[in-house]
Amino acid sequence: MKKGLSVLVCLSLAICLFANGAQEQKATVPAAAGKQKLTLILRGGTYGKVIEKCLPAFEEKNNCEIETLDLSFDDLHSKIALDTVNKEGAYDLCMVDGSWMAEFTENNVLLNLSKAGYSFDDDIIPATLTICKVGDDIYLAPYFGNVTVMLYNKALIKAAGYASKDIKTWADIQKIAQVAKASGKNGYIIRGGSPDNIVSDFLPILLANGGWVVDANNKPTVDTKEFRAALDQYISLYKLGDTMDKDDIVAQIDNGNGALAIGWPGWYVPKANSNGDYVTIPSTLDANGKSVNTSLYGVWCIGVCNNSTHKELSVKLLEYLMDKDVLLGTIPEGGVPCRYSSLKNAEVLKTYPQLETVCSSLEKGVYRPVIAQWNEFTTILGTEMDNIIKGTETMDAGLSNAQKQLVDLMK
Amino acid sequence: MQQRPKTIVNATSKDKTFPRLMILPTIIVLLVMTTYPLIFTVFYSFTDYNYLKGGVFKFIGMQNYDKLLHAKYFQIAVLNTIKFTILAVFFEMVFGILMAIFVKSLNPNFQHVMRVLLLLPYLLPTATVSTAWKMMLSQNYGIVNQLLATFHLPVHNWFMETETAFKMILLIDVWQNIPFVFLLLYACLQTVPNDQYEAALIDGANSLQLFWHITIPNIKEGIALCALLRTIDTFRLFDKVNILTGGGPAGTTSTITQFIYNYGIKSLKFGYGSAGALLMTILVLGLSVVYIKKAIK
Amino acid sequence: MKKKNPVSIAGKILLSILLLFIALFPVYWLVGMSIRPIGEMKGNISLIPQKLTGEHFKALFTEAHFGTALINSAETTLISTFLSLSIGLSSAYAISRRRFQFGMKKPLSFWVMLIRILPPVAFSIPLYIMFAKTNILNSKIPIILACILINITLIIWYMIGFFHDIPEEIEESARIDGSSEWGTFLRIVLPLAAPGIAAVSMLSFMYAWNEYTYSIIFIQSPKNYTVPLQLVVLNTEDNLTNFGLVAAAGVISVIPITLFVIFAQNYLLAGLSSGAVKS
Repeated sequence: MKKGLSVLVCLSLAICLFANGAQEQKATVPAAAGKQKLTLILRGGTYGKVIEKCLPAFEEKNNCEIETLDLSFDDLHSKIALDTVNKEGAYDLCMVDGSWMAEFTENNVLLNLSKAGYSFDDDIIPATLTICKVGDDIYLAPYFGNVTVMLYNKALIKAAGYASKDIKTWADIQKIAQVAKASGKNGYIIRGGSPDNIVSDFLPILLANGGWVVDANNKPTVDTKEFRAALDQYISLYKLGDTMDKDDIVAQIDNGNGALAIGWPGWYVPKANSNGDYVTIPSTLDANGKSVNTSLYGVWCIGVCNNSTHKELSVKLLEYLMDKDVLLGTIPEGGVPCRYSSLKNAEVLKTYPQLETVCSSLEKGVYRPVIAQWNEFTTILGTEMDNIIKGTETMDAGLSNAQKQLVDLMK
Repeated sequence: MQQRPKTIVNATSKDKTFPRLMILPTIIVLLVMTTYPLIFTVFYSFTDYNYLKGGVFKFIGMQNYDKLLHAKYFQIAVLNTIKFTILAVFFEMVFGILMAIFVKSLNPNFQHVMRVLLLLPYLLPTATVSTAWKMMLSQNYGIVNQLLATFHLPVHNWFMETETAFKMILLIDVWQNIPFVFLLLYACLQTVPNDQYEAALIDGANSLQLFWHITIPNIKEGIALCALLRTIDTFRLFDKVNILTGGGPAGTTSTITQFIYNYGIKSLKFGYGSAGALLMTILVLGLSVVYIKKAIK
Repeated sequence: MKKKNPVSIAGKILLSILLLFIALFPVYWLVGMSIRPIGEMKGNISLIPQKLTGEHFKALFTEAHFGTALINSAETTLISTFLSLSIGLSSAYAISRRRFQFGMKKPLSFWVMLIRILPPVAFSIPLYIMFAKTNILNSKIPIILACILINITLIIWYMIGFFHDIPEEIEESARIDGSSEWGTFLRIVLPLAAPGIAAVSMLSFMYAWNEYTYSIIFIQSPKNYTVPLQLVVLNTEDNLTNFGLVAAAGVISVIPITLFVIFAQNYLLAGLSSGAVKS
């Protein structure tokens, strides 16, 4: 009897299991007439939330249903890449980080938007468009204007005799850091943790010193005079402060224990009475230096998956999301459009004055190199840099090691 | 006693279908879920398979393995992982056993409560544990540094200093996993017959002798299995390191799984990743071969 | 009966308190973070929360879709734990009994252990490919299967050892009394193994509940998100970690597991084995 009962229980559970599975299968097949279903795969946090708020209006107008997956940075990359190989894609519109661009276009992950009839207008900040195209074909549209800025503590820069508009060169940064350190605070905080964070934090100062991680032919250039000069300067700033992760960096700037650090606008929303604020990262080394673009982009773009089963509707959704007015409406939710009409809007600037800094940073922005192996590139470079900064390796050994490995990687 | 042989002979000859039925579900699950993965992993480890390039790959023999074994950072990761695993398993086993014995010696009602409470660290998801400890050890709003400062003890940037990062990860992982050992060994302790203790007490044994000559031998199998399971699971350390230190500072907390993930899986180079996975398996087998051979005998 | 030594009782109490403190302080901190307003988490922080707020918990359910995740996790965990136990216990029993002779014993044991030793990545990608081709990625089946696969390795290996401690004589006397093999297994052996079963069922439940590595790859729709997936989303990289929200999510996540543990606790009691064997 008991045996029979347990077998019955097992069978019924198994049936429930498969019935559940079958039911969900049916649910994902679009209903026969009319209602299409789009699946968006997005970056979690503000970026995804901002898009999700715009969806109900589109759903109503186009009689469709949209569901969104919010994911972390690495998972977003993995899932888009894994799904590419399937004939019928599980996702329609995806959010893509600029650094994945090369890998994705090389492997046909994204739909050619130009061929689908999409084109850019001149309201979009031009510098943000550089990675969105391959030749003349558009594959991505810049959606969220994430760009590095220089966070600072108001009281500490004042103590060094600076107002925010006076921070123009890296020599100024050095001076403020020295004054803060002398008064017992952290003058400049560098970002530690994963190799990728270390490299990203360093790139602006590398640019200011006239260097870059690759040359015009995408060959690694990390063992150069400029790189060493930049790294020397970076380490000297580190000695005037400390290394921390993002939460600690923000806390330090806010509670007055840290003077300066590079960060993202998403980390800190400055208000009139807040202790911290941010400025555009200085683009010259000193008063006589040449001016270069030094603001690193972390722009989140949107594109359509090449194996999407609803290409037309997805492109329509993309156009809708990139529309001037729709983007303007995302600002109160935390959105940062890459459009002049949004960022230079007088009303907007009244409530969100920090967007002016963001706009000028976006105009002077630089994308990370567009190479398919960027992921591994930063891992290699970041690991060696970490050793050099922590003193477990000399700069000569570390950089030549890095150069060797990178040349190997890019073969 | 004379009846025994007869029963056994009957038992073996009749009972071929029952055991076969009993293991059938397991065999089905294993066949369905592991045949393809095993073949896939072994096969692709000898190729330069990149998932995004679809079916285009070529055989490169042992190149992946060669590259791995000669990669400086892989070697560092292997050393770190082995060092971490040995230390972590040691501490977990010692504290786990002691905790199990201690809790068992308490008043039964109190045991009930202690068992649930002491299990809590293990029940928390890894991401939550990592965040909780990150909060506690932060330089700015962390309670640990605050308390240390109040008592004039040295304060550290725990996750960013080369001397402390490894030890912190070790501490957090041991803290979280002692309950695993505790739970499994506590259950084993339940099966130790009381009469052995009573007999030994009559003979005048003290607690240490009871522990060494009765308790340990009886739960030997459980201890060995726990150590093996903890070794296997600790060897895979990844999530905590990823969230708390990213492998730094200066590679002191890099682990094998992290290496495979960063250099293989993230860039979808599954050929390289599979080779890494197999190397990892061989290493773990090496650490635990003695136990496995004994257990399967 | 030994007389209860007051010193040893005091010692035991002290040690218990110490153990509880070490185990629970971070948990207390987590709970504290989940009920504090964010403002308290900058600069100097106090041991006891100054102000209490339920805003993090509210945000969990209104903004972070935690309710759906809880239901999904409950479904996958309960189903996979039940199936894992059924499958695993049966196999462990068959392997542990000397009277059952069949060729598969050694290879099966080794195979099961090999599965546990191989890192998850060796399975997740090929399984993904397999499931994608058979089109069941749009359901909870892949997750449940993955949890079963991993949990039966623990259950089989641990319970083999446990069953070894139960002498076969009991079963033989039951057989002589006319009980079937299955009946003996259910009515006599399992109750004797209750402590071990309770232990592995808790661990299986916990593993399935917190499973992330396979879930992230297999799940295609937000409707199927489980609790660990939601947790990771809350730990986003570019934005500031909202410690309150993350802590609240952790607290909510641990409640169901704790309830299950309390439920399974009752089976962790001793007293059954030694008595039964003697008679």
